[in-house]
Amino acid sequence: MTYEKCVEIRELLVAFLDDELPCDMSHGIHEHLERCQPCARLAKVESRFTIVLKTRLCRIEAPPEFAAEMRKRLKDPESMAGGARADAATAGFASPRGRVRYALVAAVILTAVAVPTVEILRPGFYRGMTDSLTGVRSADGVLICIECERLGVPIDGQRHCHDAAHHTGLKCPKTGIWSLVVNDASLPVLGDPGKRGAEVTVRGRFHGDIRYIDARSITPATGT
Amino acid sequence: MAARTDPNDGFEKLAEEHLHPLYSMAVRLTRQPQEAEDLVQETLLRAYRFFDKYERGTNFKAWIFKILKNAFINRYRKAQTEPATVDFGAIEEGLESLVDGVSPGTQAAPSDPESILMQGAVDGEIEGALDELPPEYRMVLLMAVVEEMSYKEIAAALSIPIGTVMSRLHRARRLLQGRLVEYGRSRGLISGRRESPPVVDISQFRRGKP
Repeated sequence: MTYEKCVEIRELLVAFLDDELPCDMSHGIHEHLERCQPCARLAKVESRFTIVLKTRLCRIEAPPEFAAEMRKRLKDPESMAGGARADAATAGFASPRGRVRYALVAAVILTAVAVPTVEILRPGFYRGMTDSLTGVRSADGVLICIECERLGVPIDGQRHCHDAAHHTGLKCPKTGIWSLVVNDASLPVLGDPGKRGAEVTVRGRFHGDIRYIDARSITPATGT
Repeated sequence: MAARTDPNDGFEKLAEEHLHPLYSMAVRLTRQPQEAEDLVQETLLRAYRFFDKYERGTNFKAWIFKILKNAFINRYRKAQTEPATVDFGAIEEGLESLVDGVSPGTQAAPSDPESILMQGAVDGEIEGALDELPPEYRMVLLMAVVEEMSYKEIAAALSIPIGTVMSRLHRARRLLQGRLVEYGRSRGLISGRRESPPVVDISQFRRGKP
């Protein structure tokens, strides 16, 4: 008896016992079992094992209440569709994964409705909130040339300063304290001497300790 | 003019007939009665919606079990993507080596495989081992053993070739047998390892060392 033959036979043994093999193959296995004692012994055990499985693994009946509910719904398939859908929704909500899914959907819907509503009722609310989170804020003041200001040049004179080494700053009209405004190329107003003396609102990140403003936008003063 | 027939005509009767088999499979797959009820409801709802796709006269059981399988996979998709991690090579060493070790003519030895299987079965070891089977093996075994479906029906229900049904069934049984043999050893029903080499040692052969 070859190992190959026995291995092959044993892989097919269950199918053979279940009568699920073609006739010629089944006949070949039958002949092998007549000659091979270990395989025949295994076939007997497998056959017995099938009985053991059938005895132990019985069908589990549905609980009577559940079966009755399902039968009731099956009598009226349309209501079953609706009811089952509703139940599926409820069941989904009952499970942890379902709750997470519903929470996500609810959050998306809430966001889609609430965000535009708040923006309509309080324009600039989100910008202000975002600014506070990112450290961005706004301040009003007058644009000046810092170097000319130090030299005491009046604002009309500062408008004619074209020194490329000079810097634009924002001066608080109340305190007289000025801060350097970063000369960002995207804010051309900073490079325009003619704008000095203009009352503006600068929005950006303020570094009070070193009197430095990383400006995001410069607009005519709103008076706030 | 011919009367229009309801596309869902006959659904109620067929579905009702399969309510218990569906629940039984669902509870064995999910291991939780509440989850099983949800799964059965979902299966019936899907079956009702797509009943017009069911070809009358074909095997309804295979058709609705296919829906159950798909619903189960959808619900537990994450778990399903994990490949089966059962070491079948180790399992093969169980029952076959015991059988090979029994000399012809030996009567009901302490290591009689049948006694071991029966003892393990009586003590409820099979249920525990069944829960450890990967779902794809569990389904094949339950369909074959509990639902007594033919291999062709199982293949249709699970959308797999018949050869795969045979292979999964063979391996599922080996896993259960392996568990019962382990149990027999732990209970002293098996009198240790054989001293002489087996007539046919499948596990060694598979490792290329016959």
